[in-house]
Amino acid sequence: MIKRLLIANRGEIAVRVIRTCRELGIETVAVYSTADKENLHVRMADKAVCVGPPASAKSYLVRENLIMAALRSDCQAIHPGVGFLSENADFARAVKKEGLIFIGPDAEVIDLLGDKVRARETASRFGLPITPGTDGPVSDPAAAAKDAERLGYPVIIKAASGGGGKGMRIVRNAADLAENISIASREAEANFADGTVFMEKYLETTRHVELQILADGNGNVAVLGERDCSVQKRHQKLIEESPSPGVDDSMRARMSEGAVRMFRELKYRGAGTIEFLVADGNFYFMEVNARVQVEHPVSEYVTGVDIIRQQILACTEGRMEIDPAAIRLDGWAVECRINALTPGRITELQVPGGPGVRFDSFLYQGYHVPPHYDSMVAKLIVHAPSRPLALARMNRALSELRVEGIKTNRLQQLWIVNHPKFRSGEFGTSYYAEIEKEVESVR
Amino acid sequence: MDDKTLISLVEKFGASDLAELTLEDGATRLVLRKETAIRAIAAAAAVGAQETPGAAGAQGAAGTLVTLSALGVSGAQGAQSALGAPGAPVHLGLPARIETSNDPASLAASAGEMVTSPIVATFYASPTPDAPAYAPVGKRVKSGETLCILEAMKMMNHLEAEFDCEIISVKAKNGDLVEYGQSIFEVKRT
Repeated sequence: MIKRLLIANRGEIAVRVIRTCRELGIETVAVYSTADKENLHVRMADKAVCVGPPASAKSYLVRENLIMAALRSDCQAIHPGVGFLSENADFARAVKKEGLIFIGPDAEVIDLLGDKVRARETASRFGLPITPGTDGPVSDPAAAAKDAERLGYPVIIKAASGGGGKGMRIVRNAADLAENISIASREAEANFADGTVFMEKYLETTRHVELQILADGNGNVAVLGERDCSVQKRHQKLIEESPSPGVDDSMRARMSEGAVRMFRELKYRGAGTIEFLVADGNFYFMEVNARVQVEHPVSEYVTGVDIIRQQILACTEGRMEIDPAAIRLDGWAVECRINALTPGRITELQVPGGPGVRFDSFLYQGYHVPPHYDSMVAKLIVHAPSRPLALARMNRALSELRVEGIKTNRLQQLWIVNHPKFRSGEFGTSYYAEIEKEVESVR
Repeated sequence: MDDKTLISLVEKFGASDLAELTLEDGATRLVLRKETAIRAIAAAAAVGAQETPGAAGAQGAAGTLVTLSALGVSGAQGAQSALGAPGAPVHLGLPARIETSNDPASLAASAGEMVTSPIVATFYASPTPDAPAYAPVGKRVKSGETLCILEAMKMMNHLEAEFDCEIISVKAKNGDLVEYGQSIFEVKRT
């Protein structure tokens, strides 16, 4: 077992990693920007190193500072958390070069999966259906028009290196195609320093479903069920649940089969997610996220597995404590992301409790939420035997939660959880846009 | 986005208690930021950032940070990008960060300013173990002179004085890990 690990992240995910490390007997080193001096992860870690000023580009994203902090505080490994450098192959390479363990897959695997065109080709090779689309990048307007005609409108232009909705354009008719390819390409270039775009058929009512994968790097690949993340505000997930109301045993088995083959072949190590679009009883490969995800606790609830623990063991020792064949899904779990709508000082915090309730956060009374980072300040997760019971529990837990001093989206989440369409389970990724006006007027 | 929408947005934003608003609809990117938000960023590291180190020291403000930008220096970012650049020279001048002392005792004694580390690195007082220190206590250094070496990722970075000053005390020992913002030298302007 390694003795000490540096967490190259902040806030909630850093706290989450510290908790598992403590149970594993691993000491933790936190890093922080000057705006995060009072952050809970700094208070909880065994040691903390200041790595820069508030702007993440000058602190949490400065590889040299993070690696120096790890080396000089005698860490053996770096956990990148989510976001920041978690899917940065160059960082993974630099960490390894300094003789440290990167808690994640090999840099080459991150590179391959990070390029969406190559990832699609790879998935297709392992028998996973991909959305009908172009085989490679598109640039020539005439050729693109032919492809779009073959696929049928609407089509979607996507950035090969993209994410978070950037470099993504939906095109509904031929007249708008050339212009949108050029805009998407420029947007992709500006955001990801890679202007490569490709085209897919755009599916109108789809669910966003993802499988949670854990792999030991030696060919053992476990699937911890799926998550449904269809409630999204402009590609930002708001509510996640496991299992998905739109996936049955047969579809789950078919998804898992291709995913396991792909991850085994890649010699994938650690935690990862494979995302699918689900529409009309079919599923299509979208992309792989080569890291742990924000919404991992819903999978932890239904499987009883500590994903961070297995991720660390897989990456540091090439082993896991779970038997892939023995994973069972038990009950229903739902997560609501609690986002800060304003920065400010927490004057009162009342955390929900009772059976089947988990609250992952870095908030504490008196803490000042800085304006510099991601707006998510907490995750409220519940577990119950069935979906109706889980939603009743979430309704209860959201009602118990009190965060004073800043504005949060608690009431908006409460509204969605009680909305008939959400309750019915029959919704897709366009659901939030349909209810946006009502939700955002909730006070 | 038409003018009417824009004006209405600005007005609503002005009346709200939001500090910052970023709006992107694919074609337009609009960022509205209140002065309070910018101040919050500047003040995040230290309570009550002020313009002049002297005034701050006199009032004994806790942890007043004079940012590099306030001093008109390019700052740590330049140093970091240079560090990351392939083929960057091994000897690299890092602009030092300057912080007024927040230690009441030293304030009373000297009202010195702190030179702080712009990176996470290993501190070396001299170029080699047996060489004399660049900036021992009592030495007067000129602006641009090397104060110490900060080794990061096998790169020997020279930390340079931002102004003429006298070394009052050295806060780090040979081989110490220094964090971003950590005080290395206490100095007095000359």
